[in-house]
Amino acid sequence: MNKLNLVTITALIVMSINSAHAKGPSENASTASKHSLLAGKHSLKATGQVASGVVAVPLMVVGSVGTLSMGAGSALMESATGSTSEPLEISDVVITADKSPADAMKQ
Amino acid sequence: MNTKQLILVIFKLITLLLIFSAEPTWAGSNRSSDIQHEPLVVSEFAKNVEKYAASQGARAFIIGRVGQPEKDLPKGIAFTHTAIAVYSSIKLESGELLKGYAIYNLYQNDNNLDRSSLVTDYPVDFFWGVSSLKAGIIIPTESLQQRLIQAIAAGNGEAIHNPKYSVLANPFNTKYQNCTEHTLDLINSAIYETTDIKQLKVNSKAYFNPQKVKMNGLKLALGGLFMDGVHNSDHKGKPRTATFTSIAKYLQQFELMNKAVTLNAEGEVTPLLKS
Repeated sequence: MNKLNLVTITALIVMSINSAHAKGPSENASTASKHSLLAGKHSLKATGQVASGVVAVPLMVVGSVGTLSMGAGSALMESATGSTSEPLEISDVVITADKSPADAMKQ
Repeated sequence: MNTKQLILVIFKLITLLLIFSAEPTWAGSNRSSDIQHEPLVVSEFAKNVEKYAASQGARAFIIGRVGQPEKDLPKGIAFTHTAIAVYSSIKLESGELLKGYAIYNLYQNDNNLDRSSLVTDYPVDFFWGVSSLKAGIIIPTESLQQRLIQAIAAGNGEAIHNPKYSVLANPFNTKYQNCTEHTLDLINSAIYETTDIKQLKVNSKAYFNPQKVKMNGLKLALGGLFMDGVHNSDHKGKPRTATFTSIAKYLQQFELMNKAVTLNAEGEVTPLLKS
């Protein structure tokens, strides 16, 4: 093996390891594609919907064990019909994070 | 090129090789961006996680994911990202209100891995780029769930956030913070009803047992020197950090946990901790 080959092979090994650690695309770019990927797949299967969540407000149980003396902050108070460990309702809609602030400002 | 120059070039290349291979394969709390499974499979799995937690009546639970191949994770590390999911009323763009879980995360910034931001997202976002379709689910006692919701609603997550990020953050000091340490600090802020971070660290040191990180010393040293988001200057001796499983053990020890399980793509539920 001549000197040039030796240097070339070592360089290729280093470069291949470096590229394996390369980062993926930014989250901002992927948010829009995530929504479109999901919307396409779900419409094909005709089950559920895909929607962007704008804001989420925690739901608390009124007067439940462990409630602190301080206020509930931005939580909504919800009356429990029985034990707080009863099964909860979950929507079938697939909710994703909203588009990036930059994209939102373009509207 | 003479022999001396050749040796110098090879030495430099080998040094580079060592540096690049020194990056801990256990990367941290990055946002999921590159999907590794079919989108429909990920969204159905995420919905199954929600439905499982809802079937247990969990209004707040600790959620974990496996972002990298499990074979690459250091011994004792089962999950790569941890956050808190809260049962919520979620408003859509259309104005419609739905019920589901919102997830409160600390994520490494994409453009600066030494810094983090707090981000609220939803289960499909959380699991988007996972390597394994496996969820970790820790359901605290009802009383702790309520305190967690109150702490989050009161902004405790922001109050205790340290944006200086290290994947190996020491949970006993405030030099760096990663996603799991932030989760632990938030849990403790709910338990102790305070956002006094110094007091929370004293309490963690007294009661919480972090996971020793078993990694090659050279890799750790080189990673700390050359890789963004990896620091070990906040440790004396071998690094120990907060993990999803160590949080489960902590809550179990102090009788603050109802259940800790893993849920896989087949819907199989397995206890997280050995009895």
